[in-house]
Amino acid sequence: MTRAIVFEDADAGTRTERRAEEVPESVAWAMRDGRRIPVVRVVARMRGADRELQSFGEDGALLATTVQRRG
Amino acid sequence: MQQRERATPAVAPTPETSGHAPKGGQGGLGNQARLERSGLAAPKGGAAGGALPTAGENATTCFPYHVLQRGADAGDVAAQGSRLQNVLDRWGRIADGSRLRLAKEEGTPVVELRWSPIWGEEPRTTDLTGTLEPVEAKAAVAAIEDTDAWSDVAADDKARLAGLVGGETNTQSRFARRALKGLLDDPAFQAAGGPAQGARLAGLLTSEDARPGLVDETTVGMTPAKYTLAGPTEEKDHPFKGAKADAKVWTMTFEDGQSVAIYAPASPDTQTYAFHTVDQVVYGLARLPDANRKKCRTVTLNPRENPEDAFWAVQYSQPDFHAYMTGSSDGEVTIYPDKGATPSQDYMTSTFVHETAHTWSYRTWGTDETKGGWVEWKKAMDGDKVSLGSYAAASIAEDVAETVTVYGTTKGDPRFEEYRAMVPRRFAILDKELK
Repeated sequence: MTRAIVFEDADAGTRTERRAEEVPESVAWAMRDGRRIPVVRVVARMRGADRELQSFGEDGALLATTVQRRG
Repeated sequence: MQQRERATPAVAPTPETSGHAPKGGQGGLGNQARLERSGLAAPKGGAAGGALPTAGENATTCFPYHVLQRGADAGDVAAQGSRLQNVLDRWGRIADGSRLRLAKEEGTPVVELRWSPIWGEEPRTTDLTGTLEPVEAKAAVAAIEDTDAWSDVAADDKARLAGLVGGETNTQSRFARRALKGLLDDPAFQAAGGPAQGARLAGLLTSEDARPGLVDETTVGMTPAKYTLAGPTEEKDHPFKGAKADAKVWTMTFEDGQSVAIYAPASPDTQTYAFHTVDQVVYGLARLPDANRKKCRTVTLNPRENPEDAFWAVQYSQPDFHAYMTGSSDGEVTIYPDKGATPSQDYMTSTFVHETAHTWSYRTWGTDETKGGWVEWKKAMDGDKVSLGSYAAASIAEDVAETVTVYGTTKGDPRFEEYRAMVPRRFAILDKELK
């Protein structure tokens, strides 16, 4: 079965869904305790002038964060 | 007059950072002790005089003086009086020029101020040369206590409100005072009855207007952990993000035995990119709260941009998307170079603390935000009411990360206790968790 990843924009209140194979492997998967864990949800939120992205696994675990610096 | 003892910062600035501290420091009696009772005459018809000790008094006696200007002459007393009056007027306090005089501090002429109790509680900050925010803070608290509505505000809310508007040196209190001033000047508020006024005052605790989007405090007062740094050693073909390249590797070992490896490209492309230095990484790591740091295994200065940038650029319709830092739950932090200038050390350190706080909270309290430590935190949030910046109010996870960031970046200077007065329940949790 094809795995989907939900991309949420917490500020705009929007959600888009993409198939895992459509996104880079390093976005679709994250390492946790030395194991590859599938990412199922990415939440983006503005933090001041920056944007913070959080990638979560199926069990709700935070797997990775990305800080986009703007300006 | 009653001699008030001021709070001394819990941890003195380190030699590394003390060069940034304002002359005279914040709090403590040192500044007062250095004030010499000088023989300088008060200006004719000027503001100095009777309310102050005479020039002949014992020079070693401590009085609660605040310095408004250094390198002053007699004419500056009146100018400083006007500066003070402008602030006090805003909050309905009556200025008293007799509280000012020309004196000497370590041989330097200064305009000094003796605080009047009618202006409110005396500020802890003795150095008022750069800003009168500490005066504003105490006058604002006095003004809010003067409102008819004050008796209609619950006791716990009173304490939070006083902490929120009464902080002398922190960012959030400045926003809160601006919101309070707008409220006090609002005719609708003035016309409202006591209970309605009380509700609006208490509403400041959760008001968007009374906080910044992001609490952005300088990190120069942070106390570093003790560590040793070994290296660099060379590593061939290190798997950086997006490319293999030769690396230099340092090992930072802390007093508690934890080690963090720092990777940097052996031959950074400085023609194309600006890089943080290893020294900056060491500075930031040394200032992480211990609990955050223990979730951190490696920090990498990547030789090139994050290869995921192209994907995010499309996803967020931002052609110039640039990842500054990524973190994994395995404790790997990567910092990417910039085609322009790198951001400041403050920015790096506070981003470091925020991102590792996420890792720490999920790793410590689990992934279900309705269980375990998250429940205790939620209760503390509900009790405190105040959020440290609007971003903290976005979710419980961000509230934890932002509160940890403020806790970690202000610990060791007066802002720390000011923030504790706003969110005492959450700081009490962090006292236990981050010790």
